Amino acid sequence: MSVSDAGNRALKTRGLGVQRGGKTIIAGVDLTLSGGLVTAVVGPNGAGKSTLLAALAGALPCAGEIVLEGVSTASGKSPATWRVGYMPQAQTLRTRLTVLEVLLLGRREQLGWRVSDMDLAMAREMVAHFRLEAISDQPMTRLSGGQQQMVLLAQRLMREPDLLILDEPTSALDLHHQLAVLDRIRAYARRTGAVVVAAIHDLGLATRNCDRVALVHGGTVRSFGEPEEVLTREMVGDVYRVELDTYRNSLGRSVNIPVSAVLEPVQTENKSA
Amino acid sequence: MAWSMTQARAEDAYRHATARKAAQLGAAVLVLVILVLVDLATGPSGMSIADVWTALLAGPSGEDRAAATILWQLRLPQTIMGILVGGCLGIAGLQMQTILDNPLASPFTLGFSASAGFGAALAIMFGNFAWLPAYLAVPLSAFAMTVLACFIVYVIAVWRGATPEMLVLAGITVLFFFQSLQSLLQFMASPEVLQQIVFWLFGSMLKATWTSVTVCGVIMIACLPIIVRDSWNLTALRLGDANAASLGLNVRALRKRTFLTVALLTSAAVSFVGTIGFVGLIAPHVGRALVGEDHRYGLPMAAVSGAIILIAASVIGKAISPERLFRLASSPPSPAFQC
Repeated sequence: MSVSDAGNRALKTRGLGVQRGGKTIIAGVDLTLSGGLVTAVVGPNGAGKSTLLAALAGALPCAGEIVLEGVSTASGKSPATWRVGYMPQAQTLRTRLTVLEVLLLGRREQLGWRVSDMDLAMAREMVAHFRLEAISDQPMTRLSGGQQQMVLLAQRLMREPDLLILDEPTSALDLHHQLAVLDRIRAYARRTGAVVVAAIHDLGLATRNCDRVALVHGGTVRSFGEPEEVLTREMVGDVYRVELDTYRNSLGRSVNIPVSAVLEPVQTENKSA
Repeated sequence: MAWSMTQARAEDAYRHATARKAAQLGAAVLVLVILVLVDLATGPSGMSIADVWTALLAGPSGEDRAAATILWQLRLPQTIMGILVGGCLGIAGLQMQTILDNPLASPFTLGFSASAGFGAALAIMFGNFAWLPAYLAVPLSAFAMTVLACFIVYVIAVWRGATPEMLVLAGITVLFFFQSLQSLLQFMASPEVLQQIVFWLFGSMLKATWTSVTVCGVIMIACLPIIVRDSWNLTALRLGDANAASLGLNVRALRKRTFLTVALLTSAAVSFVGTIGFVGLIAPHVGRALVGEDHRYGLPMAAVSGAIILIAASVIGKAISPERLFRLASSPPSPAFQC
C-alpha cells in the first residue's frame, strides 16, 4: 500500500523490510510521511512497530529504500547520516550524569572541550520548556521513569532533528505529561517542518494528538491516513481483537472505547475420550 | 523574563559546577606534586630535602656523584614511573568500566595481567639471550604477550559483535588460558627462577628505569589524542548503547577504539613494573566520586588519582621499611614493596 501526504519535506519508504534471525519482522512497507505532521505508529504487541521505527532511524539493517529529502539509502547513504533524533523504548538509566549534562549530550557533535554559551542556552531553554528546572542539577539515577523519559525526549529535541522518531515516548508519563509532551512534539513539527513519527499504544492519544496514524499489524502497515479514517471500529476491533463502543467527544470526533477482549477458545486435550 | 532569569541563574550554576570540578582536579594535581616531592625526598640514604633539591638542580652529572646517582638513577625514574603507571591504569580503568558498563571491570578483567605475567615468566626462564639483556627481555616479552592477549580478545569479541558481554567472556577465557600457562612455567621452573618469577608478579616501581619511563611516557602521549577526542563520546556511552547510538555515535567503533587504547596503556604499564591490579579498579571510582561521570574531568581525575595512589603507596612503603628498600634496591624486588 502507498499513501501520500502533501508537503515539501517528506520521508518515503519503498518496500521496506527487516529480517532478524531468518524471520521476517516487517515487509513491504511503503509510506510517505510529510514534514510538519506527527504520525502515530499504532498496533498490537509484536506487530513490528519498534522494528519499523528502528529501521527508519537507520539503527537496523533493512531491505528496500528510505528516502528523506531526495537522499536515499540506495545511493549509499545511511539514514543514520541524516540529522535524526531517535528515542528507543524507555530503559532505566543508571548514569549519575545530571539532567543538564544529559541534555547537552544531545549536541554531542557540536560540543567542544568547553561547552559554548549557545549550547548551554539551548539546554536551558529545553529545561524551561519541559519544566525541568527543579531537577536540572539532579543525577539521572534520582529521577523517576517518567522524568527520565522527558529528559531523553528533550535531549533528542536538542539535536534539532529533521526526522524525529520516538518509540513509546509517553509510556512512563502521567496523563498531564502525556498530553503536554505530545503537544510539544506537535508544536516542534509545525515550527520546524520536521518529520515526526511516534509509536503510541494509547489510541485515544493517537486520535487526539497526532495528524496521521499508521496501523501496523503482522509486520506490515494495514492502514495509513488521518486518525478517524484509520482507527475505525471495524479495523481496531479486527487488529486488536477487542470489542468497542463508539462515542462522540466534545470536539464532535468519534472515539472508540474498548470494552472487552475477544478471547479465542483455549485448545485443550479431550481427556474424556 | 522570569524564564530568562531562571536560565541565567542555571547557566551560572553549570559554569560554577564545571569550575568546581576543574578546581578539584587542580587540587588533586597539587596533592600529587606534594606527594612526588615527599617521595623524592624519602629513602634510606638519609639525604635531606636540601640535598635532594641541590641534586635535582645539579642534574644527572652533578658533582655529588652519590646524590646524583640516588636521585637521577633510582628515585626519579621510580617516581615518574609511578605517575605514568598510575595515570595509565587510572585512565584505562575508567575507559574499561565505561565500555563494559560495569563498575567492577578493570584493565585486568580482560586477562592482560595474566598474559604479561606469562610473558615475563617466559623471558625469565628462557630469555638468556646474548643479544638482549634480561632487563629488556622481560618487559619486552611481557609487552608482546599482553599485545597478543589483546589481539585474541579483540578478534573473538569483534567476531561476535564487540558487545560488553562478549568482551568480558573473551577476556576471561584469555585470562584463564594465560594463567594456566603461567602456572605451568612456575611448575617447571627451578627454585631460583621461580623466586624471580614470583618477585616480578608482585609488581614494583623498583623495576623502573629511564628506558621504561620513556617507553611508557611515549605510549601514554600517543594515546592522549584518542582519549581527549573520545571523552564526550564515552560520556554519551553512559546513557547506554541504544541511547548513545541514537545520538549518532558509532558505538561499536568507539568500543573497539577504546579497547585498543586500554590495551596499549595497560601493556605499557604492566610490562615494566609487573601486575599492579587495584589501581585500575579503584582510581576510576575515586575520579567519578569527585567529579562525576563527565569524562572530560573524569579521565584526568582518574589518571591523577591513580598516580596519587601509587606514589602514596611508595611513600608509605619506604616509611614502613626503609632498610629493606636500601638492601633490595640493586637486587630483585621484595614482596614487601609491592604496589
